[in-house]
Amino acid sequence: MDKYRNVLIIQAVLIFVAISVILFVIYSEKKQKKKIVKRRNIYSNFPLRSLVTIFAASLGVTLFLNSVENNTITSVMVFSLLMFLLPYALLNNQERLLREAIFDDVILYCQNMAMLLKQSHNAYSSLKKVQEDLQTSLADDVAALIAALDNGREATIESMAIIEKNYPYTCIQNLDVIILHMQFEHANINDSLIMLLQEDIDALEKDVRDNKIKRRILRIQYIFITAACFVTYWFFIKQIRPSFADGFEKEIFKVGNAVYILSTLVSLFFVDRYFNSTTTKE
Amino acid sequence: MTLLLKYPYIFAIIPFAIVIVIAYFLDAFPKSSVLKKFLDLIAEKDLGKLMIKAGLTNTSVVSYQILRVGLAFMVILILFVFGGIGKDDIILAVGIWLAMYKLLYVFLLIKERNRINKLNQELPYCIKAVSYLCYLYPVNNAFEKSIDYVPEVFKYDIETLVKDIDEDPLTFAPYKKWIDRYEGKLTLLDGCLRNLYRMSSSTSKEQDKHLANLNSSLSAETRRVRKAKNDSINSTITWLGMIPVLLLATMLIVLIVVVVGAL
Repeated sequence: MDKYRNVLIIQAVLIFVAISVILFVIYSEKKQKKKIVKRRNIYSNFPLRSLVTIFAASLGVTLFLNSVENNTITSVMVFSLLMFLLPYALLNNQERLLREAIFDDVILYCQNMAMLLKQSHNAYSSLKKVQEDLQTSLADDVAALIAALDNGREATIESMAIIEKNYPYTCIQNLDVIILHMQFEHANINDSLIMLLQEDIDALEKDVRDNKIKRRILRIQYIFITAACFVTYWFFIKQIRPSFADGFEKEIFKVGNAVYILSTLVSLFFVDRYFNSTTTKE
Repeated sequence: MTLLLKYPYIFAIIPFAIVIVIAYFLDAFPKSSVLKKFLDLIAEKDLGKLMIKAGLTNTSVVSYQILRVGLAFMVILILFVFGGIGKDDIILAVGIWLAMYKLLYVFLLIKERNRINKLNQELPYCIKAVSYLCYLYPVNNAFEKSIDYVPEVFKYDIETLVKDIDEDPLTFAPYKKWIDRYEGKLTLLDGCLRNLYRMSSSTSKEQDKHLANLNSSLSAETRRVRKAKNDSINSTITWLGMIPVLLLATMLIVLIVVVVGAL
């Protein structure tokens, strides 16, 4: 009787851990102030077709795992966790793609500005030309900077601080130094300084791109390793299941399967989240 | 006396220990020797200075010592109550108490090292901001204007340097004060400041040459710092990739043990 009680306690702990993970994800999503994709109601970010796909994927994985472990509690936990985690995983992926697009825009902005400043030595006209080529939110921030240039040094510094906060790359900061001094202190910017800026931009772009590729490979490796581990586990369980007699050993077996399945799914989600948040960091 | 009879090797250790302590206080050991570093760890010289270097500027030495002693006693108490340590294990208890007491000192050393690593990572960006302004202004003015652009951790150092240069604009002393504040632990600082000092007292042609040298080493260092940060992230992802394998191995071992037990 004690053994069965312990198994029930472990199952209760698993349910508690699953709920804690969900609450933690909700809490950390709310705590993060800078969100590119809005997430008021998580499911409202997806069209119906995507929601059906998420539902089908969750159901498919649950049914596959149910063939490993025929346990209602485990299946319900897995299904609920997937229905909760998959939308966040997809949103994290969307944010990553947006961040990559923003990084491309940042490099385009800095490179074009460096070239135009070298030719025209006029920050205002260079900004106006460059702003037309930008696709992401950087275009709006640059437009705000152009407007701030007309309003004086203080407004320009404030606008630059917003840009540096939204796009924390050193090439942006260095470019702002040049723009500020060119516009308000009529400093004579020589070509060596612009060349230095261009070299720094090229170095940053190369480093971030190389890392993007490396991390994509690591992410694919991680997903394949997880899938291979699941399949290996599935084959192994099929072989040893008959060895477990009904009773306590079978309960341990069920609990062990539930622990493995849930921990692997949760770790997959958090590793993917970590990957998505670090692809374009300087 | 009973203790000495129980542990007779103490007779051998005591005179040896006395000789080492006398040699330590007479500075007889070379600075880089492992024994000297170990004895520094035991002696805990300049705890207050270490706390400031580790970033604990709001905590007094007394309160930190009380915390250390209290924590060590708590651990011993827990071990006495739950861990099965008895009155006969006094040497073991003292050893554990000392280890717990020292652990918080080692924690300070680790915090100081992490802080220095962080400063070493931010320093190239700080000097880079100054070097950009050196293209537009003389060196001393560039330092003053760079206060708004340097990383937060170096603002105080730049402000102090500007004040010191105002008082003594011709010598290297203001720059040396900044280097000495970090006791040579910021590897790039010495070379960069010497370059900037030479620039401040050279012709414009020579300045271009010094600036080019400075920026070349700064760019290399920035790339090295960026590479180190990225390698750390990549290795974290690689290690995290071991999680499913470890989970699988653990589950298989547990199940095999249960199966073997059932059989």
